[in-house]
Amino acid sequence: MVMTPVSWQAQRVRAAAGLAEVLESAWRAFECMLAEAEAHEDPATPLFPAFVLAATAAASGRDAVLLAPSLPWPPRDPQPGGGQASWPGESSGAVARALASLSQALICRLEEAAGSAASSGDQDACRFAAGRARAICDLLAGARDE
Amino acid sequence: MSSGASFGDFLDDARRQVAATGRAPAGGDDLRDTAQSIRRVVVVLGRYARDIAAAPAAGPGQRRDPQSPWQQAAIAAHRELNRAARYLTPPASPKTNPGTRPSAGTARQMDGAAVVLQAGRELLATHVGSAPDGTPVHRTEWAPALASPDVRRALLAEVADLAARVAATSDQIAAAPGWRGAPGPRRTLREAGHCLRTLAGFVQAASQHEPVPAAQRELLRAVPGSALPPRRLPGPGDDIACLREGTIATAQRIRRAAWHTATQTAPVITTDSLRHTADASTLTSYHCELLLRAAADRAAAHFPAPDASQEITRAADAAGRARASWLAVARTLRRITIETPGNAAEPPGEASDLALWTGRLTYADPSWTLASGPVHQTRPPRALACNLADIPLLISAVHHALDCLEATAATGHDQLQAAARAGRILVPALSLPRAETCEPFTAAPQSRVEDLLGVYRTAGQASDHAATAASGIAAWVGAPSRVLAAARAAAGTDGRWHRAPRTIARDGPDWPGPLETSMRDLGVTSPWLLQRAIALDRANAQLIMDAAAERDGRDGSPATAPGRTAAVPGVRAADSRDPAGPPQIPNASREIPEREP
Repeated sequence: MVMTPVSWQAQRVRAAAGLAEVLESAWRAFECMLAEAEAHEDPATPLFPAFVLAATAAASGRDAVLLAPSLPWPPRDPQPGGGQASWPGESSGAVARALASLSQALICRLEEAAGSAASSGDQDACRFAAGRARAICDLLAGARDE
Repeated sequence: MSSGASFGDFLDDARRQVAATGRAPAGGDDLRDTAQSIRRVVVVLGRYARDIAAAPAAGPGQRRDPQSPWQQAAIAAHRELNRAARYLTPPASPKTNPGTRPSAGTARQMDGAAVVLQAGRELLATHVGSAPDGTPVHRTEWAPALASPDVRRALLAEVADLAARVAATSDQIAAAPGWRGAPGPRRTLREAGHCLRTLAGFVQAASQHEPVPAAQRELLRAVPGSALPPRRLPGPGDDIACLREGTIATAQRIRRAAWHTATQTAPVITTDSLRHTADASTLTSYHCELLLRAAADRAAAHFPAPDASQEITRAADAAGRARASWLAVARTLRRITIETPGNAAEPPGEASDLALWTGRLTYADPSWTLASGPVHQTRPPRALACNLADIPLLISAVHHALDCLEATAATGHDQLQAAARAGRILVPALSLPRAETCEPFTAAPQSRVEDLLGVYRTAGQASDHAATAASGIAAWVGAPSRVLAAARAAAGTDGRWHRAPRTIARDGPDWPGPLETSMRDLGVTSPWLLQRAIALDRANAQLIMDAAAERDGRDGSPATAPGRTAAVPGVRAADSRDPAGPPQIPNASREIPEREP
């Protein structure tokens, strides 16, 4: 199976250990979702509204994570996407489903982190970001290839 | 314009009552009652004339020309109506007070006309208040249009028309045979009629010198009361007509909110509110594009000539360009954040309501919302416009939606300009190619602020063009919204993007930059490659800014203090040289953004 940027980010989110890693992987995941959603904001497809709203939700999620006090900063690798190349052959529907899957992973990890974080700043950031991930999931889950 | 009463309704009612030939007075008390009823109409018309003659010049720094035929006509109208009222005023005598006797025939019709004319004047007055010093204050977006010379002339023309009709009735009564012993009332009616015809003559002469455009007369008739319909969201059972009405009402509310924002102290903006509005405006223009294509499809079926369908398709293309420009706004906003004092929760804006209303019109799913899943079927064109008469109504709803997008862009542009002056615009530090990364957010460099204001200007222009295209179709097919263009022209808000001073933007690149444009033109969709292109475009802009700043420094121009950085956690200047950055970074904290509804 070919590893796409989205599936790579999903893997990192699932493998993150500890609050700092969860936050950093979430930041990269939201950046990746923002870039992928924007690349598919094509008004010729019926997925256009969903991608527009998902991209903005990803930006809001990213901003929330960036404000978490426990986010390690500056990051070791300053490229949010880790230098991954996109998979140009993917259809909009497949990308939407992949983003929905990544957002599900984010919801799970961020809610866990919100429950275990010591500071209220981290808790609020994780909860808000999880909410944005849930919005993306609702917008994109179930997308079909046209 | 809306389902509520408009000024034209009052005019029509008054004209109908004045022109109706009721039972002629039988002399005596009946004749005196009729004369008094005519006097009531004349008094109300005199109040209109006084308002018009005393109205200040349309804009600041403008003066009325007392020699202009219209100004002379306004003064003459006020004078002649006063004279007519004096002629009709009965001599003071206990016997001439008839008490409260029900009027009949012509008297009743004249009384009815006086009542509706007074109500119409009160409707117009709801748009204008007065300051403590007595100067008029505009309360709504209609007030500037009402104060415009063309609309004032249209109102005076209506007053003259009504006065001429009252004069005809007055003359008719004065000449009626069969009365004996009533030379006084006959004479006063004739004199009053003469005054009313004199004023009509002045207005006619002014009209011949400078005619009132038909669009302005139509605009005057379309003026509604200042009260807006309450905010409402669509229900699952709403039919097409209800969805059209809801779209128009929401657009009216947005226009009013934009007007208030532009004329009063702007509320604090937040990142979320701007992003929501940009997304909603993207989707509204997208829906308008789809709806116009559906209308073009129906026009092709109903109109034998292809012109109508082609024109509507061109308007759909313009809506598509508005959609693209709003998408550029949305994308740019995803790369900035606004530092907001406090942490006030914000309810969803009415821009989202408009996207919802237009979405319900567009999609077949009666429960469609912005948060609905990925794919929805659009309504078939036949469902949107079953017959020929439905096409103008659909065009009207789309026209209202597109028209208010222009006002939305103007509001966002002005609010961001204020935020930029206050140094409240931040960007993720890693999005800047040369930024130090001690904190996640940093003050936005000038080039990014210019980009931001530039995309808003582009969205405003594109929305303006789309509204103009829709306006042309509305005029062609006789859609009720056709007065919107005249309202904007009268209020002076048309073409504002061409006049808008670019106080912050200088020569910053428009969005997207040249490298990104080339990449997209080559068909590159890789987000990573596009991000690199965006970063290189910005680095290019920054290089030019730095070079310009160094040149200015050599020229002895005042330079920004070196090493200026933000002294608060979470925020630092983008560049220690930062030649064009905001002068001061206000307190910023790592606060969580407001929770979205």
